[in-house]
Amino acid sequence: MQIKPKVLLVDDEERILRSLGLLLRMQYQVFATSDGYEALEILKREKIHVLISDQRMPVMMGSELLRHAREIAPDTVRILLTGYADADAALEAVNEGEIFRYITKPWGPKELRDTIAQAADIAVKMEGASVAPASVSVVPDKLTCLVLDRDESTFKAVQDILGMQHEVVWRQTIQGALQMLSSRAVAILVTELSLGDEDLSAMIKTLKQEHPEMLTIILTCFKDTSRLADLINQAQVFRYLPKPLRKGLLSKSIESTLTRYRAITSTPVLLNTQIVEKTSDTSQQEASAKIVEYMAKLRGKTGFTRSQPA
Amino acid sequence: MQTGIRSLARDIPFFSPHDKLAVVAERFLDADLQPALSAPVLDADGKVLGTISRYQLNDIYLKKFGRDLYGARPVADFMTTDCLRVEVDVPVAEAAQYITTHMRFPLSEDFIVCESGRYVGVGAVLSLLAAMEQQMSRGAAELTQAYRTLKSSQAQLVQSEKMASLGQMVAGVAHEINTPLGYVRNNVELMQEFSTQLRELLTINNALVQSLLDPEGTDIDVARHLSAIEDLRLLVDPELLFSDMQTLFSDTAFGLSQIGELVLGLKDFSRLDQAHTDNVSLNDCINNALLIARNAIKSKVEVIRLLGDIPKIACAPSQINQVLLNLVSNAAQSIEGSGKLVIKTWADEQHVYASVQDTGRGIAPEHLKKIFDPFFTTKPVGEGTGLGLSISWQIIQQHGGRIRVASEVGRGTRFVVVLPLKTAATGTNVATAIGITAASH
Repeated sequence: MQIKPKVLLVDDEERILRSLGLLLRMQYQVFATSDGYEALEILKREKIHVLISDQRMPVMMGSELLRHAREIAPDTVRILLTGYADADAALEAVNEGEIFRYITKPWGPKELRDTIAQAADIAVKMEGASVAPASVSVVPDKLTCLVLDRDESTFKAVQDILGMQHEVVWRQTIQGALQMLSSRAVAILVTELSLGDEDLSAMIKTLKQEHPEMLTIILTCFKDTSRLADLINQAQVFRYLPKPLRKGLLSKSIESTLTRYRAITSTPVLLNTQIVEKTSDTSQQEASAKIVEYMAKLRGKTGFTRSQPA
Repeated sequence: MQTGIRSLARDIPFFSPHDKLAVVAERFLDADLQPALSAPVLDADGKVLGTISRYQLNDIYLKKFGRDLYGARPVADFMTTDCLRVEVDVPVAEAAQYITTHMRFPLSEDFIVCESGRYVGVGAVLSLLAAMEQQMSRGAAELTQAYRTLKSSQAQLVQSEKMASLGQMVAGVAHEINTPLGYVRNNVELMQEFSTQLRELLTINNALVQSLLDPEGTDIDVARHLSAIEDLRLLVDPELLFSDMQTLFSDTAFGLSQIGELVLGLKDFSRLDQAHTDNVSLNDCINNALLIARNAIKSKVEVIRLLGDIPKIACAPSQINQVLLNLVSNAAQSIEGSGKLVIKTWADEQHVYASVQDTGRGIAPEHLKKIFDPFFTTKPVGEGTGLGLSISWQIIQQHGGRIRVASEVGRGTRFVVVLPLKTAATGTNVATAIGITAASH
């Protein structure tokens, strides 16, 4: 019999643990605890594939647990399962916990099973990869960072941080950004969430589907939990930073993003962690289809083809 | 002002100080002097020297030989010099005050209206008093109107503060429901799966029974069914399945009761569907407020309830809930990181007490004096209305109670709500006094 992947559940409500335990026990070896410290012990002891954590817990908050988990077991795929729309917790879970999915309670049992199956699949693949590292592809020293924001200070800040070693390109419109993206590979996209009254969410999500290796940093003053949850699940946003911009934080974030980008491009199996969920919102799907079409047209003109993920 | 002193001044003929008394008396019989009780005596510049009244003339003439004795003497010898004088620009109220304190009884003179000491006209005391009364009643109407406006805007403030805190809390409770809803939904899904598995097992078992009962049935059929059952039992253990289902059922029942409790808590909290006053226990109000505020209380805040055995009191529960919720959420907000929130109730012969104590950042002494002032807040713009405590204070006042506060920066704050066992105001008055009745419908 095939060895079942290991899933660790952390929630202060034992009924959630029981319920999820029964849902998952056929496919997985399930560990469960209501104590964050015990969860960290389990992570040290066992090779856990998927960690599913609640946010509001008395002993240790979920975002804190996820942050420690990332240090202790970086290959464990992390999922936040919460019933509260706590924007700060969601920000922490992205920026420090680098979560794979943000799932809200009450969850749909089928959807949750699918998400966990996907997460477990990624973790198992990565396990194999770390035993036999993939052939290192050449990562260019000089990378390109695209800044999409009307605010020049954002561009200047990124330019100050990266300008010496890398190329920083500034665009103020979606068209401009898409043209730029169709002509060359971009490692990091630093973007606002809106240009004037234009919402960029659909574009950001579509770009992630088209360019899974490109990592996204969002810089915005919007702090809406459900929007952020969508951006995690459907765009794998790597960092979500609040405006007004803090340069130290931006610099640190860009540095981690570069490291992550290099890791992904040199170990293609990591690209699996960038898999996004498709949106079920029809207006977003339409917007996305338009963007894809526009990009295809641009590519036709320039003849640039993006690198296929392994 | 239209009803100023000038409008009361009638143009009454005047006398010179040298006019003979007989002439003056004769003049008083003329039509133009008919409306006057008295007439002014002016010097050449028009300055008022005094007044001579009909009453004085009668008095003199009624004396024996009065007319013969005094008729030829100048009016200046008889006039009243400390007559009633009112400057034309004096407000009516002030003039009325002056007249009522200086006028003589029986009322025998009018008052002279002057402009910088010069004669303008003569005013009747009665018409001044009438003007005064009119003005006062208008003032009273304005006051009533202002009072009404004030009261309704205050009721609106109370209501909007209540709605704001309630809105926040409803969101919190909605999230609170997500946890039980999460596992209840999951459990129902699981039970459906389990019942499908049990049905499969049952079907195979039935097939076995069939083959055993069937006279044509062979041992091979029986063996085949038996092995199928064995195979399935490896995957589906009915004993385990039933015990799991028991757990799922009891967890689901618990979850549903929790959801029910949360919904009931919200309903109890707002009490929109109930009478405005009721006999309730402060303990229930506290439990309600804590239930509603659970989302606002960070999970690192330890809540300690020391609820005593206290009698019920007649109060407007939704208002008392509002006060307690306000105190509890303020306390929770004041705690940075981890801390404690101690809520205590007790009673003596006359009062019930509820204290809300936190280990939060405390209130600076200079702020402590102002915390019950309307619009006083130390929170950033948009985060606090500055009305919570001021409204709480009012609500408790209207219930005949009081709120005390003690605080130390860095150590925490303690609020004590004291409510009388017997409210001075009867039930409904409590609610109407604060204007809730009108605003909540």
